[in-house]
Amino acid sequence: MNLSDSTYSETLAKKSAGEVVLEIRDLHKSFGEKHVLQGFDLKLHRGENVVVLGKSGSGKSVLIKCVVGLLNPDKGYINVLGQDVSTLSQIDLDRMRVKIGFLFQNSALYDSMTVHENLEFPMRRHWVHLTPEETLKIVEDALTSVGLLNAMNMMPSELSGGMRKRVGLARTLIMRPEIVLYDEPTTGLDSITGSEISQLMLDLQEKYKTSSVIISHDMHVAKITSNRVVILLDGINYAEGTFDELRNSADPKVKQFFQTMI
Amino acid sequence: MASIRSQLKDFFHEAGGMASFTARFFTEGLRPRFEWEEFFKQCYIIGYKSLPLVGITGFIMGLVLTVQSRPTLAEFGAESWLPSMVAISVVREIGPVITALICAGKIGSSMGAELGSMKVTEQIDAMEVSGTNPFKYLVVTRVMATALMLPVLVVISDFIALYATYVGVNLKDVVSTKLFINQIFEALEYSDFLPAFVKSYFFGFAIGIVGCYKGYNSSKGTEGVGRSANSAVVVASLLVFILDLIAVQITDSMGLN
Repeated sequence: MNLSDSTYSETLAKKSAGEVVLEIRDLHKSFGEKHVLQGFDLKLHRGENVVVLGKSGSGKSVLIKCVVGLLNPDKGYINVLGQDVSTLSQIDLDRMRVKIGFLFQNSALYDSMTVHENLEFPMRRHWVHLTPEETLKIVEDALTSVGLLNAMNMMPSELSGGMRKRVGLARTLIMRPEIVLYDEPTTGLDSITGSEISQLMLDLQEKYKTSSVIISHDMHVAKITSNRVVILLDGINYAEGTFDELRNSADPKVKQFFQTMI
Repeated sequence: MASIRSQLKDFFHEAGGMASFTARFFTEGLRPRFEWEEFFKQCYIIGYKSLPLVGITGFIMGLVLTVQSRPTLAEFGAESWLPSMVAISVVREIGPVITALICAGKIGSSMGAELGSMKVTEQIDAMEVSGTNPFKYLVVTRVMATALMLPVLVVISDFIALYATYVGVNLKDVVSTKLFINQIFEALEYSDFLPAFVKSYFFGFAIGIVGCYKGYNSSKGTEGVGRSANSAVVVASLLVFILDLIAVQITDSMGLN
């Protein structure tokens, strides 16, 4: 659905002026008889925050896992920072992944490592020229950004859900990615902590100048963080626009979607 | 009939999966860069942390074997053969197999559960999207460490079992340490020690591969993690016996038995 609303057109015009950092065209992915994605399209411009809203099981996580090559799409085209993901060798894919941050739904912190080691892990592999002092400084800066410097030597099991999310966010951003993919960033958190995390995402985006795709079913997150919202329905990008444009949409399916989700 | 067919299909699917996992180990393991730090950490966990369990098992194994064998040898008036007989049994067969089975239980289950839990909590995916090869970091290091540490554990277990034999022999008789050692070294040959040492590498490799394969391919949440740990122990133990059978056939055909 294309909204003819003037505000949406202005937003699109503004955003389309920026460089496209992620482009998805006609993406298809099935698991057996279940057709999860059936021709999904998306363009993400530099500096933009796109929230993909969808119900549970609608294929939101599948979508971003295809972007980083964790899943292979059945059909379609994914271009990340000018590179066609499907044609990349394993080495090039690993290089490209460093430019993409991925925040997992449950943070996916390495249980056997301290918070410090979790943050240090990707740096020790990709920034081998750094001295231990420089690495420590970067880790401290990242933890300060999320307000958890005092948790540096704690194990993930000692952290609360909100703290885990913050550490996950710090680990995601420590490699200075150009694009960040958030998989349900507020799932499992209370509304206050959820709002804090959403605000933190915005602050960090401002600080690190990233472009983001935020996968969520949380309307509050969509409202706070999005420049643009895409509704994933029946495996396609059914509707696009700003949060308010979509909330006030006259389309019966979009109306029903918002009623169900709110 | 349909059930048998389905079980056979599952068996071949599993065997094929494990074979390709092993092939991947050799291709990925040969490529730089090797994760030395994780490898040494795993050697410490697998080797050093298994020592108490392996040591206690070795001691009990040596003592029980000595005490149980004495009456039979006494019937033939061959009690003086006790140290030699136990030493050959321990070094050639019982030491490697019992140590491998203990390690299949301890290390196999721990690998299955650890990697399984990492898989279902997306830690392996997190590693992959950070541009690190999780197979090299998690699997190659663990399998190499198990293959390297198991022979070391077997040797240590053998020594402890032989010390327990000395204790067992001296429970009823008085045999000097010097005489005991002489009897053992007179009975043992390189052909007893070498095949046992070599097959321990294969036992260690099999335990590592099975533990990692089960954990790495874990699914269906916490239930799947439990199942991975359990089946890692079962399959690894079974493989130890199968490899032992093959090793015995090979040494026999080479005239080493």
